[in-house]
Amino acid sequence: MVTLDNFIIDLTVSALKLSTPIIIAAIGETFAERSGVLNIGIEGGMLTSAFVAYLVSIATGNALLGIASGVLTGGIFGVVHAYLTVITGADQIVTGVGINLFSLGLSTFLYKHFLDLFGQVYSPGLPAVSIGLARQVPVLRILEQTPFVYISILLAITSWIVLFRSHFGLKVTASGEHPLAAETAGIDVHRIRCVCVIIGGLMAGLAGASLSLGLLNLFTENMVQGRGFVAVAIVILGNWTPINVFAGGLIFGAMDSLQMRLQAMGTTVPYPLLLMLPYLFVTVALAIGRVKMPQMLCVPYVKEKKRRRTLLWHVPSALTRSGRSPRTRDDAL
Amino acid sequence: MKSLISETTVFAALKDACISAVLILVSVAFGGLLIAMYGFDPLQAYGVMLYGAFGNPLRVSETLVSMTILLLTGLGTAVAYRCGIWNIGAEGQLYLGALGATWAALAFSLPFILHLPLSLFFGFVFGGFWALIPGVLKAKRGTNEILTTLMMNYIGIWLVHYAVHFTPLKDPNKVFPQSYDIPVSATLPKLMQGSRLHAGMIVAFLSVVAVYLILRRTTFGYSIKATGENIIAARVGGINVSRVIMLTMLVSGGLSGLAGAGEVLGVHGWLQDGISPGYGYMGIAVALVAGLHPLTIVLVSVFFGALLAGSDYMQVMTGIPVALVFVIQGLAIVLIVCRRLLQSFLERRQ
Amino acid sequence: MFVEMKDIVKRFPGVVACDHVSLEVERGEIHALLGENGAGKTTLMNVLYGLYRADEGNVYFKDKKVDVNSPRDAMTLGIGMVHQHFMLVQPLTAAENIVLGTESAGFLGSTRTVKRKITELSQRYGLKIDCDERVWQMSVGEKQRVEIIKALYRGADLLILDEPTAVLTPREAAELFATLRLMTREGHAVIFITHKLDEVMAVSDRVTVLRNGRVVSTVRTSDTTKSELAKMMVGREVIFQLTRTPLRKRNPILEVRDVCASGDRGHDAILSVSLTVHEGEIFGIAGVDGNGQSELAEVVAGLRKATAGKVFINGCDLTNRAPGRIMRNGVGHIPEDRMEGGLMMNLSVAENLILEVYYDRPFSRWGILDERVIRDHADKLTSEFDVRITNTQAQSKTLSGGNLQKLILARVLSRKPRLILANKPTRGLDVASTQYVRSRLLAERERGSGILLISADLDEILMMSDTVGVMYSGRMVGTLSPEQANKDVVGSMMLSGSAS
Repeated sequence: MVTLDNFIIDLTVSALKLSTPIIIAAIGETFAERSGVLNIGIEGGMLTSAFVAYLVSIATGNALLGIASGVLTGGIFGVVHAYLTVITGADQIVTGVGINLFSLGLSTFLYKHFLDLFGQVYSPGLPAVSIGLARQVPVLRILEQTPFVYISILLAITSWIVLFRSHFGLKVTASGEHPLAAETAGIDVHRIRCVCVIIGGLMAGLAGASLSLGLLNLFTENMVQGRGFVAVAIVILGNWTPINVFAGGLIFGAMDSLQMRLQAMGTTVPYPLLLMLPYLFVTVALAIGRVKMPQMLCVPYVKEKKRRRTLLWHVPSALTRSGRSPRTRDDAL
Repeated sequence: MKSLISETTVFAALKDACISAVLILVSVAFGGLLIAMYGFDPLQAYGVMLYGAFGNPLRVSETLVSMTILLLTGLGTAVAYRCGIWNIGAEGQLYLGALGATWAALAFSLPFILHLPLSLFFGFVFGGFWALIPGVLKAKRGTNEILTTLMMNYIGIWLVHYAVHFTPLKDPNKVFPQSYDIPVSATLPKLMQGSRLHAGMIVAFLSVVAVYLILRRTTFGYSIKATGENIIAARVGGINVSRVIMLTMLVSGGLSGLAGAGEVLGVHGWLQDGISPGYGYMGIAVALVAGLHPLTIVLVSVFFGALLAGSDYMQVMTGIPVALVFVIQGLAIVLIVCRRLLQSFLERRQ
Repeated sequence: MFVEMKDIVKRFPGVVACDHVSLEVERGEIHALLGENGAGKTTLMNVLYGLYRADEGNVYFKDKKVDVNSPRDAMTLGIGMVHQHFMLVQPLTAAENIVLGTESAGFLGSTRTVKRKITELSQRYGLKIDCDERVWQMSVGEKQRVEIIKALYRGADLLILDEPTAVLTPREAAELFATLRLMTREGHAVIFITHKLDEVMAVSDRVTVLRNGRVVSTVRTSDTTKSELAKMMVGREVIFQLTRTPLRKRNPILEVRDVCASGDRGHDAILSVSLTVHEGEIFGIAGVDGNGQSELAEVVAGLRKATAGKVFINGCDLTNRAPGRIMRNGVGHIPEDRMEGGLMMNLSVAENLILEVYYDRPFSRWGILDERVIRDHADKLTSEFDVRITNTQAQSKTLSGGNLQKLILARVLSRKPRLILANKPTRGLDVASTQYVRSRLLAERERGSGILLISADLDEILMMSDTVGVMYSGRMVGTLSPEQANKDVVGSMMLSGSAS
């Protein structure tokens, strides 16, 4: 019988499970976005990493090796995105779209090949922690999770410390808010951004591995199912702070879990409206200006020396639409 | 924005496209490697794909069907980008357009000559409205449109999902969740018997002509270009940039909305969720690869459409997954965008 | 010699920002760098600070040649810079901003030592700040103090300040000077970019005057006077005398009443300014750059919000109306920056020329542009206004500075506006173009337009204006009739706010 207690505990258990991949990816993306780079290619990064992790863990029989290779794959995608958007200054959105397409194609293609050769194979995933006491104390069931869940909590805390309590974190914030100020303070903005995007890539890789080795022990076509984009939304919702991002991810996981249960129970609750809510919240938050976006998000930064800028006369900010502090046109190149 | 709105004369854009063609070949070669891994001869496989895109009239029709959608979403995105607005919400605007067209098709009972145009109109309006919301936020509050349009994509997709599962639009008699069938009076007629090619293609071509003429010859187009070029100078010169931004988003979303309308009224005949496997995002890529010019967008969307149609056929004939084509597309997009930047980077050095 | 810059050349596309500039600064010296906007002062300092790389020339630090390739190099050498637009990261606290980039790794756990050092610096130099306050909460003066401590924290021996007092109250400025003097007594050197002559005289030991990218002269402050400096800074040779017909004043076309407005950095840019311009009159606003003139023009044009007061154009209250509406009431605006604020460089010449009129007949009908009319219009205007190009369809970015300005003139004046706002219309132009612009404006005056002319060139103002208004620190400190306006009186008002 489904008691309310059980229902809530079940919900929490599955919420944690479901939200973990998103949270891990989102925390990585938080680094990237705080430094000023929008990487929607994490969707693709997660997908290919999930596949590579799956493949390697089957080939070697070792889940840890699988995770490591997944992380590495994510890192490679991170490097590519970093090079294209930070060093050459390519459009961040299109690069992400391209990477996503490429990833989708590559992973699906290779997986189908794999299926042909080997059929459906389960990967040796990481087992969930088992707590004996859980039988007597049902609440403890919440703690029976795969290591990925614990890693995600650890990552959230560590990231918060790094971003808000370390010198590196200061540099990251400066690079995203006011890269010119950062440069005058002696910071290599490009290097910081690259590092952050690669961190984002590595975590996206971990998130992908957590999908094919944690959440499910197999790989399916396009198994990321838009979770990468959800991660991007969660970053905004969480106001670019890891702890809030974690909370946002949990909320999403809870709603995802709730939605699945409702569907299974065959209720008439309009769950799509529920699933819409995180995005709606974000949009409203953006509209009323409650979220403090890194000012230079998605704007490639051209180092002073490389600028083709002609002498800039005084450009009054009244002439810029929103009346924010003056940005030279070169900032938007 | 300089790197996006660089050369926009047809000649220059064509020259761009030719150089891009080389990069596309590189991507195709990479695809060839993957095919070889599958145990097939790449040239043979590509031959099949080429046939699948252009080999017989039926295949050509398939290419054109895909081209139609990409043409409209690409056009919509390009219009916004020309105005300096990073509209990445084509996907959501497409979905809303589909919703609008479906609703109009089912809600009214009119003779064909009125019903179809009206349904298309509502597709345009719904899509336009969906883009207008981020547009207003940008114009009035300076809200970053990249984030808002991205979010609206998901809200839109779930809205359609909701409509198809929970509203009176849903047809209870069908196995899978979908809307009622669109009445014949609102259906886009087939252009070729036995194919999926529908009159939406004509709508798409008309849109290309319309956008081209608007940008080149009208005051509205002028205001779009001026605002996109230098918003400060535009304002000094007396242009009401707020209004321009909002109107441009309306048009931009409307075009993507037409793409969605076309899917419903022409290809499927009903509304279901998942009607777009990312056509909106592909449209962004199409727009940028084509250098934002309406005429080159036609070329690029034919190319992308050919890839999609050809790969479908290739999968049927050889078993090579359709996914190969996404690899080629993704790689091509990345290479081309990167190369354009390399080019302008070199230009600056001089 | 503490710091020496020798024969620095820095070029940007289309302009030589620094043309064989040499500068030397001694230890314990406050050295002022004086010049108009665009004279090259900031560029020169950006080279010294490693933000730009000089095309030619060398920098010597303590008599040794150094390569300053980045701000990091500059900081290692002991050079610190406080920029005109604050380089502070808004969401961070003062302490975080100060410490930003000083260490590559490690945690901020050592806040106590950091804060101690900051407090020590703060007390030593009399710069009061709150370590834990976030930048968006700070006042302008506080932000500047944080910037200075930021430089000192990194061990700056040489401190460069770019227009530091532009946003300070007189009392804050005095505090700043006290701090600077304290610093030099302790052995630091200071380079001080400014255009305020009062301050140069008050606090500097030596002053170098730049004009159009070249050094005019370097003198000991005690050996010179304000008017000499002003002449060096701003005076241009008056090659041609322009004839001006006697003034025939008619109705007022522009009336500004007690207008107040804020500047970009949040400070008060205009404080209760009033003036009247009549048809057929040139009202020249004299004043050193940055005293509120540009902001005033923007308020009249509808581009900046007036926080108080009213603007009447031809009798209608057009305060804070949309720029388009104001223009349709017969106002023409020649903006201060022809490239950033005036033209669309990637669009063609013809397309730029119709910016203000494209929506009207005969250029368009029912929303459709008439290409032939536009082309003819462009041909007519380019010949009438002496814009040297062969093809009106060519992109505007191919034109030179003088031609660009003529392009704007053509665009604005062809509409025959009744009120013309001309903001530094001859800045950066060669002699021929300057002459052209001035004679054109006088022709408009003949035609009966009222012109509000803003210029930092006193000679230009005196030559062209019927009435002279002098702005100083955001106020109109004097309105002089043609008989009263002479160089000494106006000059004195420009430099110190009063006629004495």
